[in-house]
Formats: sequence, structure tokens, C-alpha cells
Amino acid sequence: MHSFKKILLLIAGVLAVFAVNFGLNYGLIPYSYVRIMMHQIKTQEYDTLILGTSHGLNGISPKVMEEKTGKKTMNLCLGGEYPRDAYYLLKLACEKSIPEVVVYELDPGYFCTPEGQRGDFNRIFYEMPLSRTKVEYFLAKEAELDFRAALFPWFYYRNQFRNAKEIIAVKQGEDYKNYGAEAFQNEGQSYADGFLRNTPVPGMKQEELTLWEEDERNKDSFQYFEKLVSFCRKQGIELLAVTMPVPREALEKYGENFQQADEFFSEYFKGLGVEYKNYNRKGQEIKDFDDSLNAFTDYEGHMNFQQAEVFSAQLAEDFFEEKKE
Amino acid sequence: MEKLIEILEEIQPDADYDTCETLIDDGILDSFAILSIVSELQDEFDIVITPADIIPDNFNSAKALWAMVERLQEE
Amino acid sequence: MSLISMEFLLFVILAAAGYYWIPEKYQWVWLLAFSYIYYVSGGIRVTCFLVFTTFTSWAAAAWMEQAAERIKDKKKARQAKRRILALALVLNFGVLGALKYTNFAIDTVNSLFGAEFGSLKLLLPLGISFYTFQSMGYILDVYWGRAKAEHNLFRFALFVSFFPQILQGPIGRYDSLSQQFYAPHAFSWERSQRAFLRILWGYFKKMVIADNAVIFVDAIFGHPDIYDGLGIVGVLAYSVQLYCDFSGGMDVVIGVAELFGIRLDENFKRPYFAVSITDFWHRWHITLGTWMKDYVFYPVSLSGWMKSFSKFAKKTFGKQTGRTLPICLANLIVFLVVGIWHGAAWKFIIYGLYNGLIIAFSGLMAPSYRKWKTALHISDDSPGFHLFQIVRTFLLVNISWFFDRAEDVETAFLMMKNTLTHFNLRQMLEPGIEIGEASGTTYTLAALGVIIAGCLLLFAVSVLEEQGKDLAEIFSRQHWLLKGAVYLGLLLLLPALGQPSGEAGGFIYAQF
Repeated sequence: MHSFKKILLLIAGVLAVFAVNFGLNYGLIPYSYVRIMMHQIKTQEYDTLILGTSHGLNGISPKVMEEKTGKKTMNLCLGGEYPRDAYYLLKLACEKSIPEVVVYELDPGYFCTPEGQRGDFNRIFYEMPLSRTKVEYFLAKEAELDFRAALFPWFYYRNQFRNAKEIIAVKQGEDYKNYGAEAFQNEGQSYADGFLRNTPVPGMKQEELTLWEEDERNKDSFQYFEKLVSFCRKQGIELLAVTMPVPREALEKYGENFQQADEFFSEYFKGLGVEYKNYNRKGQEIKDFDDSLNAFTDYEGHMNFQQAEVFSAQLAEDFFEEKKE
Repeated sequence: MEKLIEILEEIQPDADYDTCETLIDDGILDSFAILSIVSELQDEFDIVITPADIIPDNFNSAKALWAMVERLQEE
Repeated sequence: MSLISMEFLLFVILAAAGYYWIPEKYQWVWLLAFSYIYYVSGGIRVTCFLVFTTFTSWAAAAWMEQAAERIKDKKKARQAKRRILALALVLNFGVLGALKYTNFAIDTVNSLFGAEFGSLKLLLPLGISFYTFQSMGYILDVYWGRAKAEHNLFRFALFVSFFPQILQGPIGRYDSLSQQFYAPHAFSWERSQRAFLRILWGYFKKMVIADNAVIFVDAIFGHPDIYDGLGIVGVLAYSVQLYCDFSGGMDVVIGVAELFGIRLDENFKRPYFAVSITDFWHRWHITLGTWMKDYVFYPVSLSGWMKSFSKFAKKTFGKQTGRTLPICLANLIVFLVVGIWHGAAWKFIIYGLYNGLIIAFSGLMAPSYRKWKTALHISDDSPGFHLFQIVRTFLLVNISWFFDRAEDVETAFLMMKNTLTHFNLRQMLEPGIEIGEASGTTYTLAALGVIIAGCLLLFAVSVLEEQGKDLAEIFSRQHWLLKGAVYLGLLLLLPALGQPSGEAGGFIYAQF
């Protein structure tokens, strides 16, 4: 009897933690487009999926690609999405339907830095609907992180307490219930047409960027990319890889490094039998593309939406038109 | 035994060696004091003290120390 | 598997649940299995080193015992044991030294002779210095007849690999641990509650206090040129970080072990209340200190050549000084080893020698101090003198932290000089050079407030503990509602006020 009461108290305690935690998650974690992405891949079938980093999220318009190729396209790129995350995102999408083509947007920086706390790194797990993939993803990634990432997702948003009122208001609105994107229509940046549309900002541009360092290779990134390759092969998915263009100024400044990265990855992809296009390579032209710094947010290569649309058209042409012939 | 108490008092005067049985446990003798005592005992009684002998049981009281000295003299 | 990772929590829950579910006589086997799963999850290759140390220590001890029984002649038996001991020590410390210091040796040779040997990429098995020290202590105990050799290799393997402690200690002793490992343990609510509180408290110290202090430490020690007026803030923040990081980790480790009914040795006893550097080392990383005392300090002091030196010193400097001098020398050797243990760099050697010199000096001066105190009518028990001693020791310790944390010896000296000559607290508020820029977290007054509030709480707890109160016991007698509120509060403070624990999510001492 004594023990029984204690177990009851223990359960009550755990429930109390859950309740408080639920409230804090609700009030502190803002609505994110990651939720829209998860909803879409769980409910719709796509022919083409794009995986990758913030460059891909900013620079590839699935709408333009769709118009050009006639294939239903979804952009699943995110800031902080390492190959490990990309692999499980693809698996999640495949629970609904298997795409014909996967385009992997490669930022060499993600292959030579440790998976840190950046971008939407914890969002993917948080928004992922309960599924077999989520369990696998938990064991592969979330379990290795600080326990606060999985237990208290609001940990990374605790500074939002001042905005709690608005966050809750948004979450109670119709738009949130319908997985709409109204909340993300901000000046300078908006999530529409399935990608993140940047509007150019005049003034100083962030110069720092993560360069490729072969000695610092992140083993996990390579391992998971290779898992991605074999998964695609098994499922009959065609895998293509692409590196986004950076501004001319960045190329002038770090040209040698970009070339080293290109040589390394060209060789790497060749070994894996993956087609790879690098738009920083000489001869890899983009029609009507403005590659001056004005059209980018930073040296790293986050481009504005007009350039993104121009680029997406070129990407569609280079990857898909050739194949039709 | 008298000689022993004399040595102890010279090295660490603030203790009652006749009654105290927790010289080590209460930190009255620190490692410097222990080694000073060992050094004097070795010279005075012509014995060899090894690291194996340096355990609290042998140093907690003057009586224990004297027992150790007598045992080592026999060896 | 870091102590703060999700998988560690799940691992502990799984291990503890099974531990009390299976028959008690298999509990130690269960612990051994989980300890090896834990270690192997860090890499198969590094596990080979663990197995090597386990096997050689076990074999050496058994062999010594057998030699003692087989060889009738006492002297010959001792010689045989000595040879076995030497072999085991050389093998194990050889591996430790080679893995940890080869690159330091290469660098030193390169800089001395202008050579250009490339550095090697060496594996560093998790917790290698902790488990090596623990095993070598065991062999020495067997050699001296203080412990009996363990015949069962698997039982011994648990002593070397017990998972909560293998990462960062405490360094255990065979006689106390073996009795606990192989005894049956029934589940106890009281013990589990105590353990849970201890674990939460450890995470609180690490995540809320230490990880907030890191912001300031990394910024100031990382940019001593920019923050030249903040050396003192940096070193104080470091003293907070180091203590809370290391002792917080220990709280987690000891708490986790307690879940299994195993009581590990305490590693910290409110070190910043120490009245002397000697006292500090009795309160800071205690198990390393006692290990050094038992296995380095005494053996070196009692060695043959030290005896000859003692005779010579007594003749030359008189009885008292002559007696103390060899002890001081042995003490310096100990702290040289402690310094080198902290890392392969000159700054750590200086860090060690600095501690050793202060202790040696106060050892030599002890008789004079005693005379002065009598002459000036100062009593050790007066509160004023006690406080003076604490403050003096804290200052001396903080000077040593400059060597421990600064990039190199030169920077340490420069920072100390700047602390005295450029002191300028206003730099903390100067725009443009925000503290923490380097570590990716911007300095906020909030972080400073959290550190101060956390330290006040820690201070209050420490004062009560210093008065001999068993706070966990007092806590356990409170109303369940209050206890629940404290658990919930501590748990929620971890994400609410804590900082992310760095990219690797590790503890400072986990890499030793």
C-alpha cells in the first residue's frame, strides 16, 4: 500500500512535468514553416524532393521547377539540415509516397563542421509527426543531444517569453489550423511558393562563411549521405546533387577554396555514381542571373527571390530538360 | 614509548598523545607530519617503514604507533 | 555518451530498472554488461585499451599472489613480486603516457632542435587516466598486502569499467568498491529519492551555473587583448565554472551510482572554504589527491634514495629543516605529476609546481608560523583569522587558475599583469565588444544575474553542509508537496536558465 501511494505520486509528478512542459511549448515555440513542410509530405505525393541547407531553402523555387518540369516538387531544405536530417526527412516523405527524383543541395560546410545547434536543427524532430521514422530519427540523432532538446523543446525559445501572447494568438488562429503561411509574410523574408523568399537589403553584407576543410571532415555527414544514396538506389529514386552559386565577390575572395571543394566533391560523387552540378564552376552558366553581391544577402550565398526564380528555371533545365531529349 | 611521545610532541605539539585515538581520522596529523614522524622513527629505532605500513590503523594513536615500531623492530 | 545526453538518461533508467528486476546475485553481472555497452558505444577500438588494462592488472595481481605463495624465501618472493609490479606499471603507464604525451614530446623536440616531426593522430580512450589510476592503485595495494587479489576476471573488470565513474572519476579503491559491487542491493525509495535530488543538483550546477559562466570565461580568456580590463572577472568566472562543471558532474555520477546502491567516494568538499593550499587539495578532486598521496607521495618519500638525501640534509641543514626538505621534494614531485596529468603543456607544469611550491614553503615555514602566531596572540579558531585564511587561499587558487585556463604561460602572466594595471569593469558594458561574441552567445545581464543567483544558492547550501548538516536527509523529511515542487523547480530551471552545454556537450574533465 505504501509503495502504491509512492508510485501514484511518481506518476502525478511525471504528469505535472508533462502539463507544464506542454504549456511552455505551446506558449514559447513560434509557428514555423517546418510544420507546413511536415504536413505536406505527410498528406501529398511529390515527384521531386529537394533536400539541403538554407541555401536551397532560399534559392530553389519548387513552383518554378514545377512549371518547368511538370513534376510536383517540394523543397525540404532547412538551415541546419545535415545529411543525417535529410536522410530521415526523405524516409518520412517515403512513408507517404516515393518520389522519382531527389535533388540534394550540397553546402560543403555541412560536411566539415560538427552538427551544432544551428538553424532548425531541433525543429525537425519537434515538428515531425509521430511515425516509425520519428523513432528512428530519435535514436539516430535526438538521443545523442543534450536531453533538454528532446524533453524541453522550448529550451531553445525561452527568450520568446515576451512574445508569448502573439505566439499563442497565432496558434489559435485559422491559418495555423489550416497549415497556412500567413504568419510568415514579413518584409524582407517570406515563406511562399514553397520556399523562403528573400528581398534584397542594401548595406553591409556578412562576409564570414564556412569554408571547405578536407581535414575536418564530419564522418557522420558522409556516412548519412551514403545511406541516402543507397536508400535512393533501393527505392529506385534518382539522386542529383547541386551546389548553389555564391556571389562573384565571394568567388573572388575564396576562389581557391571553392575549387578545392568542387574537386573533392566531384570526385566523391563520381565514386558514388551521383550526378553533380556546381554552379560556382567555370562554364556552369545561369541565364540572366545577377551574380553580384547586390542580389544576395551575404557572401555565403543566400540569394534574393528574383535570382532564386531565375536559378530554379536553370536548374530545372539542366537537370530535367537534358533527360527528356 | 616515552621517546616516541617526545618525537610526536616536537613535530606536532597541539595534541594529547596519551588519549587521542583519532590522530589521522580527525586530521591532526597531516601527510607532512606523518612523514616527519616516520623519518624520526627510522633514525631513532633503526627500523624500515614501507608505504605498506602507512595506513590509518598504524597512526591513529601513540599506542598504535608504538605497536608498529615494536613489530618492525622484530622483523 | 555524454552525461547530459538523452541516451544517457534512457540508458540509466533501463539499467536501473533491470538491476532491481533480475535476481540479486546477478546484479554485478548486469552492471558489468551495461558498463561495457556504455564503453563500446564510444568506439570498439578504444575498448581494446580498457580490456588491456583490465587484463594486465588482474593478471599481475594474481601472479604476485601466486609468487608469494610459491616462493618460500621471503626475500626472493619480494623480488619476484617487485618485478611483476614493475612490469604492470610500465606497461599501463606506458600506454597512458604514449597516448597522452607523444605529441607534446614531438612538439618539444621540434621547438628545441628545430626539427619538423609531424604530430600523430592518437586515440584517447575515454577516461583512460581515471581507470588506469584506479587499476594501478589496486596492483600497488595487492603488492603491499593491503588488498587481496581478485581471482575472477569478470568481477575485476567491473571495478575497472563501472560506467558512472569511468568518464571522470571519482578514482575508486578496490577494497571499498568490491564489497559494494558484489553485495545484493534491494530497491529503496529513500535512496532513489536521494540519488534523484543529487543528480538534479549536479545538472543544475553544470547547466545553470557553469554553462552561464562559460560565456564570460571564453570571451575574456579567448580575447585577453580586447578584454584587458576584465582579467579578474574572467578568473572569477572560471573558478565558478570549473568548480560547478567538475563537482556538478561528480554529483551526477555519484547520484547515478547511488541509484544502484553503490556509494562512490566524494570528490569535493566545498574547496573554496579551504584555509590553505594543502587544505584545498583535501577538498578539491579529493580522490586524485589521496591517490597521489598513497601511491606517489609516500612511496617516493620512503624510497632508498630519498632516505640518503634525508641523511645528507639533516647533516647539512640541521635536524628540523633536514627532515622537512625531503618531504618538500617529494611533494614537488607529486605536484609535477598532477600538473602533467592536467595536460601536456608547460602551463600545466607551472600550474602543478606553483601548488607544490606553496605547500612545500608552508611546510618548511610551519614551525616559524607557529612561533609567530603565539607571539602575536593569533588563535587558529578566531573567526577573523579563519576568514583571512579562506580569502588568502582563494586568492592563491585563483592565481593558479590563470595558468590552468589561459592559452599559454605568457598569456597567463600578461593577464595577471593586466588585472593589476588595467582593471576596468566598464568594458563589460562597452558596446561593440560584447562579451560572448566569440562563443556565439551574446553577453546579457541576465546571464550575469543567473550566475550570481546560482552562486548565492550554492553558497547557502555549502555553508549548511560545512556546518555538518545532511541536507538531503533534511529534505527527505519534508512534505511530499514541497519535495515535488523542489524537484519540478530544479528540473525546469535547467532549460529555463541553463545554457546549451557547448557543441560537444561535454564536461571539462571528461577528456582526461
